[in-house]
Amino acid sequence: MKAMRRKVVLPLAGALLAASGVAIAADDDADSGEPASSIAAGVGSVSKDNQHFGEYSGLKDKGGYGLLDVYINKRYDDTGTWVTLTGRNLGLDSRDLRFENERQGNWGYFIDFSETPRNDPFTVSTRLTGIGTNSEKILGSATPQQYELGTKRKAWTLGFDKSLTGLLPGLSVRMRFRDEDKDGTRLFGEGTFTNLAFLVDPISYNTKQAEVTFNYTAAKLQLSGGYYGTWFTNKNLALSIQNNPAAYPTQPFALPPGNQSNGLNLGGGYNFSDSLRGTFKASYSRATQNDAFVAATATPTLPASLNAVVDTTEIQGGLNWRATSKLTVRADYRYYNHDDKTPVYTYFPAQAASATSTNVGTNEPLSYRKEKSTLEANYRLPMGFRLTGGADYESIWRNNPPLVSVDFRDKTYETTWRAELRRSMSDSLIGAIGLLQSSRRGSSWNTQALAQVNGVATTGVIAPLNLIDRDRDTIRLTLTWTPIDPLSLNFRADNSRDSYFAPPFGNAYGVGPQKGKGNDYSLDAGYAFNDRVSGSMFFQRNDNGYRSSDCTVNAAPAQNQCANSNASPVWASNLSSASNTWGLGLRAKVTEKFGVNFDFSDTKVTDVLGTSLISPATSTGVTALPDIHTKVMTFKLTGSYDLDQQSAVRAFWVYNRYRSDDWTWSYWNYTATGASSDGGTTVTQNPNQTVNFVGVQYVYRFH
Amino acid sequence: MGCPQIALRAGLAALLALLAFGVTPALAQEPGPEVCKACHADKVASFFASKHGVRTDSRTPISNGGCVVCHANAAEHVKAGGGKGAGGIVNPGRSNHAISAEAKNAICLACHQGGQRIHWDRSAHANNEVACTNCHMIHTAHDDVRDKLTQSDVCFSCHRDKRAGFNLPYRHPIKEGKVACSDCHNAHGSAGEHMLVRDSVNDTCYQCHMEMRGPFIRNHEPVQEDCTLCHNPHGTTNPNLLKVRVPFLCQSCHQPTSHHGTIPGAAPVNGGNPAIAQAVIMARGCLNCHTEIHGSNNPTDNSGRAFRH
Repeated sequence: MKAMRRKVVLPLAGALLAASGVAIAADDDADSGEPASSIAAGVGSVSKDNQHFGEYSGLKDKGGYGLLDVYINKRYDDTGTWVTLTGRNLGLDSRDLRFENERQGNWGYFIDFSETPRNDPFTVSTRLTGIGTNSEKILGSATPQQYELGTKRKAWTLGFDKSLTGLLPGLSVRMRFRDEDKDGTRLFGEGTFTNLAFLVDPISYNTKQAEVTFNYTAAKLQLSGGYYGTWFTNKNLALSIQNNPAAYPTQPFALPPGNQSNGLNLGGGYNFSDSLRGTFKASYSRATQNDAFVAATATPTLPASLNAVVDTTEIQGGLNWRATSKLTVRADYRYYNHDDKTPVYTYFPAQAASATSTNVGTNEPLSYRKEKSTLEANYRLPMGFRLTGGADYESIWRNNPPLVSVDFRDKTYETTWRAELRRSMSDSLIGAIGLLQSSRRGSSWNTQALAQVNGVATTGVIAPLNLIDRDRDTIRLTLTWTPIDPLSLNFRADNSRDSYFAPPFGNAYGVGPQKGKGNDYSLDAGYAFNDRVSGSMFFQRNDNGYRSSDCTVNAAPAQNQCANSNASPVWASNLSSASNTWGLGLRAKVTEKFGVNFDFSDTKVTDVLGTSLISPATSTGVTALPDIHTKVMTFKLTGSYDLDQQSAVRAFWVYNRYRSDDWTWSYWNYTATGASSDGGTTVTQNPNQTVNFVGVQYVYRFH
Repeated sequence: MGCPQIALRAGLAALLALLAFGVTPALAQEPGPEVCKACHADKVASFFASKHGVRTDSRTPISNGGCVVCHANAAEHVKAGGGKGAGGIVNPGRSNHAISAEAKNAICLACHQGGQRIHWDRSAHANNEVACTNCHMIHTAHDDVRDKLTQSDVCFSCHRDKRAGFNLPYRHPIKEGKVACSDCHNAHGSAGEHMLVRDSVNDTCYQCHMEMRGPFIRNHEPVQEDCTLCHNPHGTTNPNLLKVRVPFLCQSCHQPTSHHGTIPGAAPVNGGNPAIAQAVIMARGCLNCHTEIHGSNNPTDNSGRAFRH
């Protein structure tokens, strides 16, 4: 499909919330034929402390900010060497800096530094102390203190590319190494039914990735293969809680353990002829996790660490055949195996001995295997039309644990049929309509679900969402129409319906997933008024829905039947999330020296958390849940005045308004009284946030 | 009319005059950029500013004939006096619908078929007739789709549903240019699912969220299989990018024994102690207790598969 992309930046571009708001790369200078560079320096000011606007931008505090963006792109024509320095938001916590040096066709390297803040959009009022450390204390302070949580990622990436045509024509090597630290705090907690305490997850992670790839490219054969390794370490492997009330889980908390993986891969393509091409890939990796347990095991004879090993294998092969000038056929097969070979021990002997346990007391390695086959053909019809038909078959096998706590089947398979009619070779009207129909079925259900160790068997009630039989019907429509030369219209519609089929578990009400839906409609328009002025606008509606039913079952042994009582009725949930977004964009060169850009977007989201009673009619146990509304409006006005051929002054104003009535936090406090109290911690968000961000920059352009 | 325009017109007039008299010495072979410049000065200049215009690199179009490497039939185009489509000039640009995407892409793939583009034929883009020039700007030293800040604009021009998602409250920082579509997807095709850069959904997510990999002494099955069983990475209205809000998501799999089938309630806690009906939907929902939902490596967790610590 033709991409209706203009040089006019759509209102939802990243530039809207970027500090300086403009993609920094200068336009190439059409007169000189040399790459252009620019430096933009200035100041900006945020009108208020905020939680939403500054979530990722680094602009959460009221006050002034230095704005510095650099794009220096220099080429030495005698050697074909490029030197590029790119810096964005250098005065902010969301800065990026990259230096590249390349002798085109021979070697190249880069070094990249990037910071990504994530400011939690909440304010916490709590008596918990030790926040940010691996030892926290409930009721540590006499009175509640306020905190703002958040994380910061700092990543260094090094890259090196080298042509090895001296060894073998077409051969090259590519190396990448990335080292990222993530530090900060995140919402956490502990609880047992109605005893609920606020905690903070102390994050101090390091992630490393290394990749070496050899590429060989020739007219017929292309190969790409190499090594990929990853390493994760966590400085806080355990979280200890002082003053931990007796009702809460035993100490300490186990935080994510370190893990690592090493893998090799080889892929390639071969042009058997001008009309037949094959591709393949084979890869293998081994992931391990063997950090010492944070507490003693049940018996001294058990291992002190998991010694986890997971082997992953992928094999892919495909053929693309242009059988005639009008007919193309494609076939593809992919195999993916995730084999968890972690040794099994009875780490939880109490569970093994329990008559009411839902597990046999061992760790449970989870393995699965996916296979997918695809066959597709497309045929070119007259008048620029193309007809496509295809089928996919995907199956997933999962290992069967000895005892399960949810209904389980070890295999699912899904068949998808596809048909599409497309027109892409026309000056005025292009588009496509596609239909997809999928059916997912599977093997027999494990009727030992919820089986109890001492042989009291029962069956389950709910077929899990990812295993249940499902039919999915999808229709897609795209149209791009240029009725007159300066006007371009694009319409797109996606409509999807899911139907779930409860298995014959014998439950009178067939509770579990019922229906799902997804709709997306958009209309975009672009208009070039003249060489100086162009505009765009769009409207988009996106809505998703999900319906299910639930109940509380009887006590054993009749656990497959709903209690269906006034206190424990059968009920339904009917959820939907609908958003309407519209936007405007305008680019105007008012005079030879002065230009104006305007971008506007407005989004309104409504989450409906519908719940309703099914049975018995006399129950009052189902109460309505309020909807949740979110509104975000942003506009940005930028003016640029050329002082001379090389310099300009740019001023901008960003207005952002955020509204939300999300009651799931505002109605809440943690346990406030009694032996399990944490002092009644609250976590709140300002429901109305309006921020103005204004700034001015001096821009210098050069070659 | 400025001097450059006069010179261009004079030059073209001279060329046409020569042609009128049957003299075509300059057109015995394909014309170089200096000829194209007479009418397409801005395009030639931007071509020279780009990587395709680097003469010291033996692979580039300028080292192998210039404009004609991508724009075939240039000689006939000049002979016909220029103009849109004149002489059968091949224009692989996005605005030309006279030739198929496959024909346009063949021009680019003649040089760029290796490396990250080996699986192009397998990709949804190839099968949906997306041309290289639909996304890439060729006559420039700075290609929007290769810049993290502007890449999403390009992708959203077709992937409108994803545009909606990134405007929702819980999302990756795509709009801020900190995460790009290409951090997860290889738009040129891959051997993995959904054109992902790694072999599986989870391996792709682990690039940034490696703390979820485990494995753990207590694994949560959907976590180990596919992150997108619970999460929508393109943006949602639910915290932590969940597809469905808690507890409804959890209730879609878990048997309604014990408290699992609890009907959520919205009565404000108001300084008191929460009841279960509030605890399953307010604050972190089920995760208020089941806080280690991605798995726990705690050998003292004797509460079953509760993921509580």
